Amino acid sequence: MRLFQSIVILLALASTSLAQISVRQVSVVEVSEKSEKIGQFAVVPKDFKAKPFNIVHAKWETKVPQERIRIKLTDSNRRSVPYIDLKEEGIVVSQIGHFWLEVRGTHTYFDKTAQDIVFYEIDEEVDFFVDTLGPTPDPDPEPDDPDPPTPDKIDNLSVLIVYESALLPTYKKEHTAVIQSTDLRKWMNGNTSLDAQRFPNWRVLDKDTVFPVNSDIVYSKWLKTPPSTLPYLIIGNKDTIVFQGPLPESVEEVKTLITKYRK
Amino acid sequence: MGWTSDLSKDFIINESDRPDGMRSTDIDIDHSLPPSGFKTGYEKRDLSKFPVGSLEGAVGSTEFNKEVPLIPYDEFPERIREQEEKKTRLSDIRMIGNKGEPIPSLDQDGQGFCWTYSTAGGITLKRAAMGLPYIRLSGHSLANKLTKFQDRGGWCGWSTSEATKYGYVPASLWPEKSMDRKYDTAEAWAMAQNFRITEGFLDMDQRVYDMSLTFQQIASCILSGIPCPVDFDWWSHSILGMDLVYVSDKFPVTDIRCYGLRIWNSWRDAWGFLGTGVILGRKAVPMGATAIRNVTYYEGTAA
Repeated sequence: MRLFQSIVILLALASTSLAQISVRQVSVVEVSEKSEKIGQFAVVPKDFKAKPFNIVHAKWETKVPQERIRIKLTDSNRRSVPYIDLKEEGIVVSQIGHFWLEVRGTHTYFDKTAQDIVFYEIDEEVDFFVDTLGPTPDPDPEPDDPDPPTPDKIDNLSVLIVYESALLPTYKKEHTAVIQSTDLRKWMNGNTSLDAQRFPNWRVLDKDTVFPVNSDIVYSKWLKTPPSTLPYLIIGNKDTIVFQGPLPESVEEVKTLITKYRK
Repeated sequence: MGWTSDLSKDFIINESDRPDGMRSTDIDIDHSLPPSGFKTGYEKRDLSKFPVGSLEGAVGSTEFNKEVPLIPYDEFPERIREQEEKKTRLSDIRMIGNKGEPIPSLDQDGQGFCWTYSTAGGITLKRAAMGLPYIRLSGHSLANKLTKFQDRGGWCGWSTSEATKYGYVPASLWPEKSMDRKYDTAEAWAMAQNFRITEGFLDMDQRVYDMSLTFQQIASCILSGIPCPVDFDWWSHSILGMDLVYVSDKFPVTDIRCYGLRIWNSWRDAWGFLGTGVILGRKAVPMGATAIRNVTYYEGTAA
């Protein structure tokens, strides 16, 4: 298994003509390379509070080298956003927002040596050109609000931890401890919503779990798009997903996230 | 002496196999004997006809072994210690799986259907781990379907592989211990589809009595929250493997005498400690075993 690696991506703001008007450096938290997927990682501005642009979703397909990979930009609600694929030059997206970048490749791609992923190495900066079709950003933005906005808190909060049971013995023991935690289960019993039978709305499921036919169960809906990285955590309700990402390695971190979004 | 599992509250099934000399006073009592009225049900093997194929190291001829991920032996003691401290064992999940209360042990009283009850216990425990409501399953339902209402023994490989097709009827529709054919209805088996095994580690290249896992495979599964039905020839019994325990640090970590297997029996809660017991050392290596990784999702009441 390859090691985690950090990469730096330059996120550039451009006008509608793609003329670069400013550059903001953002960093990818980490890239997990395991099994068939590179993994999912966040593109987060270093000065996270300063955000004239926040969330954008898009897909990007290109060939790196000789192999097909797919890039998907997603927001916390998994909404897709129209984009223009500029191949090696980057992508153009049409709205402002936080970027969550997911990269996938084929199995054969990852069977090869690390040289094949040169595209993602730290000295290979990737430029993303954000086409601000909306209002042009203020070239001299006001100082950022020192208080970050309160996250969206939702009613009827549900929690799903997703894993692949065939790989459970290969997971980090910290992840296993979260997946198997009775402390977290008891805590979630009192901190998630209750269904019609007064049963708490949390589940810990294999990604391939078989649901009843024509089920409208929220977890079934969420698993229709399998997470790219496992184990994974999803928080939301039947209408929206407010958080999704790699499963934290401690129970306390999971509790903190749930508390953050629970109304 | 370093750290070992606290077994002071456990029901030790084979005291005479304690490796450290700290044996209890009732060493001469055979704790494996069933209570009055109960049976076991594991069918003894004719080893001359069907040679042993399940002891560690003996199964290696199939691709199956490559598919079961292994946790290294040298990680076992620390992982067991952490699981006991953080209460992340399958037995811990069982203790809160019934709306915060322990899930009651199954009850096979009367018939030799242990081999379907061990798998029923595994499905029940997996559902609890998934966060699904506790629904009591009838081990008699699948046993009677497979034996055509004959009281006979079997193996966990048989029940596990058939549970992928038929599932188990909830006890609300097929009472435990009932041999009555009136419960064998299409409606009951339609409901049983909600209690099927959908993913597991089953050596499908083997016959049902030869489906097995090595001890390291079983240990890796249960340390990862995957329940394992296990068959023991010495006990003529099939039960559910829940936890790995660390019994002694006097031997290399690859020595079976370091470990024990906490099992969940189907002789009600009155047996052992709330229906559970610990098998020590070599006797914890089963003759047959499967692993239940995933079951169908059903959050209804099954009423």
